[in-house]
This record gives sequence, structure tokens and C-alpha cells, in this order.
Amino acid sequence: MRIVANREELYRGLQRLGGVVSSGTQQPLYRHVKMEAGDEGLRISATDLEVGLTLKVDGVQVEEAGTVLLPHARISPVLGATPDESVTLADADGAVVIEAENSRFRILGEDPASFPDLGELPEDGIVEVDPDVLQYMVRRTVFATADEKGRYALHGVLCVLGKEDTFELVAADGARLAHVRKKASNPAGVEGEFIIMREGLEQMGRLAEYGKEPVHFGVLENRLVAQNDAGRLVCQLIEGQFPNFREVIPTESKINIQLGTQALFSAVRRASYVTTQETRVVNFEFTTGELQITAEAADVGQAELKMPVEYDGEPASIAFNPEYIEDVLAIVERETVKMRFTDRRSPCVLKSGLDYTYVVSPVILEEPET
Amino acid sequence: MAEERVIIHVDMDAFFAAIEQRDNPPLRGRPVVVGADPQGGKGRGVVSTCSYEAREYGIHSAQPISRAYRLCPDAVFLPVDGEKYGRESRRIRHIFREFTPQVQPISIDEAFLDVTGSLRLFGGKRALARKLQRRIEQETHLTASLGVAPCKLVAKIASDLEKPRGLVIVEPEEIEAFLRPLPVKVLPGVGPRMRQSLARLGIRTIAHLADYPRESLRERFGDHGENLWSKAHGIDESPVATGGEAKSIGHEHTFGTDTDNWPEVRATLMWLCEKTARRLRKAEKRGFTVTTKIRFEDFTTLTRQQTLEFPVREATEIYAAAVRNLQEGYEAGRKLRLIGVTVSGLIGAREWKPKGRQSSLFEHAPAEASDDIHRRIARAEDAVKDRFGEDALRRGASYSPQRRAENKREEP
Repeated sequence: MRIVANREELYRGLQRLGGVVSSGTQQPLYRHVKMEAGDEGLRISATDLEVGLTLKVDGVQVEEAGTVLLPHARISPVLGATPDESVTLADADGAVVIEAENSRFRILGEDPASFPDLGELPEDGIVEVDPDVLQYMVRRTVFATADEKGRYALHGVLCVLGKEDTFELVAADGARLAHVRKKASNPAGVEGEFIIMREGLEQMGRLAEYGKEPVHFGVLENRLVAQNDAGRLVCQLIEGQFPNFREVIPTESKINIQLGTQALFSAVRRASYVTTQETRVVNFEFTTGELQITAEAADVGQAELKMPVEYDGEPASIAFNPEYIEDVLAIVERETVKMRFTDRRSPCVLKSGLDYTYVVSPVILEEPET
Repeated sequence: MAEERVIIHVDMDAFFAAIEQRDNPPLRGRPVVVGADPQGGKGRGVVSTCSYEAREYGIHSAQPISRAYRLCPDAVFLPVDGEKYGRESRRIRHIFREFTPQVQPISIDEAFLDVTGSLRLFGGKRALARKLQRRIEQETHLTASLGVAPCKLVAKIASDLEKPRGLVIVEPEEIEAFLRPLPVKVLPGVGPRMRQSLARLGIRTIAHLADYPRESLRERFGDHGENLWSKAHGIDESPVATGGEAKSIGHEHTFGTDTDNWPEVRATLMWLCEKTARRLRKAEKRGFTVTTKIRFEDFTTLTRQQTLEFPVREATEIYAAAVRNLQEGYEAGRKLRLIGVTVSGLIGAREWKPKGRQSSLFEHAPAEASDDIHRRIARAEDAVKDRFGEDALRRGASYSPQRRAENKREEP
């Protein structure tokens, strides 16, 4: 292999692979980057066994086709710190020589044949989604996945393909759920559900961001393959039972209120300053024309914030973990959100637009024992 | 640097068996096994302790009693006399307090002593340790093995090396040299499973572990991996905790026959949770961590635990966590021999001032208007049991015809 590469483009590609390269020391193979130079230019790949990513690198002249396998942790900083605009990479006896005007590195590689085959986009059942729509959907769901141990299916995001081109993503941990519904061109009429690992879906969103064209994806056995002009992603699906999300979204609520997104975010954030790890609670109290948000921790103090709201029903209250409210308000773009709930013990719904629903289970305050 | 500590780990030699031999001279010099009833080789419990004579036949503690019986049918098999051993244990603790007020009993026959403050009085650590060993022997006619080191971890390992009547002193500068040649299994937290996982990485001795990159251990095993690495370097700053109160409360049960009958397992688990909950209430405690112990028919044993956001106390709360643990650890197709439940991370029930509990989207039980109901049920349960005994009342969910048929055999 021999290539002349725009250093910045190549370095950017390597950085993008960084999220997929395993940082562990026990499996050296998964800390390597495969570089394939051929007729179509340069492609670089990395995998941590669960997620695999191949990216095209622009600005590369291939002088001699070939494939090498190099340690990401070495090659990436070398290219990052090289000041030159272009660099030459050439393989020589299992190593790669990286040359720029005033520098020459020889980095030892591994046998490229040992890198696993990441797989191709399946031929049938391909779904096509607009890159902006995909990024929108990913951003609205991944944050709500569960990260601690427990229900393994909740580490992932449920992807539902339905009739009439509907495409839904659902993420949940034990206490909240995020659901977004959009359209994706589905000419084969594929219907079904699968669970994508959180990390895989994040990379899928990034792939949409790197490219300009729609993302095509399909499921083959237990893997999802997604592809666009920027590259290709392969991700293991999670086997497991995702809870029935439709059941936990309340259909009707007694109390319905519209709130300013920014004002609410700011009030919750400020109230949370007096909460502690042990008492992550903010209390919402609605009275005619006003929402009062309070928080209190015995060893810190109290906070009390007021904001005007259009409300004229019976006084009502509900309490939340402030993080669960901040998380969602931080990502919705609309100026207002709709909040609805029935009582202090039942799930509360926050809606932004018609396509996005967020359900959060309240914190139930109980009296200390006597 | 902090003042160098001197910690002694005292471990009584073959404690239960030694007491029996002391009190019954014809047993001296004979293999004595204290534990479950061997029932002519059909018994199902385990060996609690055995005398050194019995160890020559390959018998050891935690071994199935049936196997011990096969190894030496002529041994004297005795039941566990908890009350008697408890009495001896208290006598020995009194002796400890002649040497230091900082005593942490860790079981009926083991304790840590921080003697840093008493060294001058007794003329140094060796003199103090010898004197302590002699005092125990004179007073109780039982022998103890001692490990002396700057931390609990090393002291505990040291006490085990020259049993019986051992005294091993590890100076601060000798810690690494002392630990390195030992197999990893001597470290607390390295059970058979962990040992296998480590062996796969080529880690067999503490030296291997100490030289392994800390980050890699962390990646592979999480915090536990990092802790092990610290232990391999002899780093252990945990203090000798003198509270003396129970650290955990729990119960376990050996099934009459190995079972994969899920309703029976669930019912038994609920029954253990009820018993545990009742003891928690009596002790006025709540606990943050619920641990479930699972032993399969081939005696492989594992534990699964979870730490909760709020400290539990009621049977149903403990059960909810315990059953999740069980599901996580259970391997389909294998029969269970024993299950156990422990609640740890205890705090006084009155110390816990609840500020609210995050309700769950998918599991509605705790979110329903039921907290008060559970509390009232528990109160009623206590009232009935206090008056009519532990078997007077139970939840339908903990009723198991199998267990009833076995007539409630439990491991000690």
C-alpha cells in the first residue's frame, strides 16, 4: 500500500473511529484500525466487536492498493500532531512508514487478515431515512436509555417499523421513557421491532451527520447494517424483551398544562442546586395562574421558584427527579412543552410537537416513620 | 504519612471441634466433624468445622456432609451447638479487650484487633501477640492463630499460614514480598469464579495480579478489579470497625431435594425474605443492599447483589430485589440446592428520613398507594408472631408444600 493523504481528513476519520475502537488492553485486535486503499480511495474501519464502523476518507490519492492494520492509539496522535498538510503512508514489512516533510514514523502493524469481516448492507428490506430526521430521532431518545445493570434490553433503543412508512424509536430506563415517531421510506413494507445497542444508535446518528445523503439500513440475522455516502455501520442487536411501551404512556390525564420550555428548564435547574444525591427531588405545585417549584435538602437548604402558567383547575402537585426533567427540556427545540398528569403517583407526560412523547414516573414523597 | 498501624487478626483453630474435644476428653485425638447430620451418608448439609485429625482424611469446612462421611465414616459427627460456641466466643472477646478497646469481631471465631495504641504497654508487637495467644489458651484451653500486619488484609492472610497455634508477623516493608508468591485465591473477593477468570488472563499468583495493568483490570472487572489490584499491592486502609453490631441480616435454606421447581423456589425465597424482614424490624434497621446466594446442585455457589436507592425493610421490598438477583444468577437447566437472602448496608430505621422514592414505569407494585398498607401488614404480622410464634402467620406467597413436607430443615 502507498497513499498520499490530506492529513487533516485522515486524522478526522481516525478520530471519528475513536468512539468505536475498544480501549481495552485484552483484545489488541479491537484497538486497531484497518486501512484499505483501493480503486474507490481509502476506507478505514474499526470495531469493538459489538459496533463496527467503516468510513470513507476524502483527499487521498492511492498510488498502490493494499491493506494494513495499525494500532489506533499510535497512528491517531502521530497524524494529529504532524504539522504538514499532506502525509505519505506506505507499508514495509508488516509496518507502515508515515512520512511528512520533516518527519518519518515507522509504526508496527498486525496482519490485516485477522480483522473481522464487518458485513455488507443486506440486499432486501432496506429502509431509507433522511439524515436530519435520523439525527433528530437519535438525539431525542438515546439519553433516556438505562445505563446501570438490570434489564439488559433497556441498554438499547427499540426500533419499530410499521405500516405506512412509520419509523419509531423508544428508549427507557426504569423511571422514564422517550418515544419519537417519524416516517422512513420503506418500499419493501418491512414491519417489526428490534433493539439496537445505545452505542450503535449513537454511531448511526453520527453517520447521518458525517454524510449528506439519506441513510439506508436493514437487518440481517442479529445485526443492523446502516450505510450512506460517509460509510457503513454494523451493530449487534440486543436480544431481549423490551417492555410494552405503549402500555405505560397514559392516554388521558386530568391535568393539562402548557409551559415555556426555557423558563421551566431554568427553574428546575436552579431548584436542583439545593438537592443532594440522597434527595434528588423537585416538587411542582400548580395553583391558579402559577407554578411553584420547590426543593429542599436537610443539610443544604431550600429553594422556591415561581412561574406564571395558564392553569385554573384544582391545586395539584407532583414531584420529580430534576435530572429527568432537565434532560428532556435540554433537547427539545420548541418554545413550549405540554405537560399532563393525573395525580402524584401516576406517570406524567411531556409532549413537544406531535411526534415526541416523554413519560416520567414521579418521585413519591412519603412521610417519615413515626 | 499516617502512623503505622498494627492490626492483629485472631482466628481460632478448628473452633467448634476444639470446644467439643476440650469438653469431651474421649474425643481428643479423634477426627471430629461438627455440622449437619450425615444420616449415614445421605445427609444434605455441610461441615461447619472439623478437627485437625479429621482434616487428615481430606475433610474441610463447607464440604457436603455426605462427602465428609464417605471420607471418614468413623469420625465423630456432632451437631452445631451454637449457644455453647457463642459463650466461648464472648469469653474470648473479653480477653481481647484486655489488650485493646478496638476490637472488630467478624464471626464467631475470628476478630480484628487494632493494637497500635497498646504496643508500648506490652513491649512491642511480638510480645503482645504472644501474650494474647497464651491468655486465650490459659483461659479457654483453646488455641488461636494470629496474623500481625499493618492492615487487616495482610493480617488475615497471615493468620492462616501457620495454623494451628500460628503467629505470623509481617513488617510494613515485607508486605509485597510476603504477598507476591501466594495464590490469588487467598485474597478476599477471589472466589472460584474470579479465580478462573483471572487464570484465563494468566493471573495465578498475587505477583501476577500486582504486575497486571490496573486499568485493564478495571475495564474487565470494574471497581472490583481495581480493588483486587490494590489488595495485591497490600493496600487496605479499612479501619478496625468497633461498632460490634450486625453488618447484615439474612437467612438461607437448603432444599430437601435439589429443585428447579420455580414456584417452590419463589415461595422459599419469599419465606426467607419474611424472616429477614422480621429480624430487620426487630433490630430497627433498614438496609440498602440485597444479596441473593444461589448454590447449584453441583455445589457451585454464586451471589448476586444490588444496592437500592432506598433502604428496604419489608418482605415484599426485599423479595422484589432478591428475585431479580435470582433471575440474573440462575442458569436454566440447573437445579438449585440452596438459596439465601441477606440485607446489608444497614442503617437505623429512624436515621432514614425519606425524601421520596422514584417510582417505576414498568413495575407498579411500589408505586401504588401501598406503602402504608405494607407497613400496617408488617405491624400486624409482628403483633401476631410476637404472641403466637414465628409460624403463626405467613404470606400465601411463601407457602411451599415441599418445604412443609421436609419439616423445615435449615442450615445453621
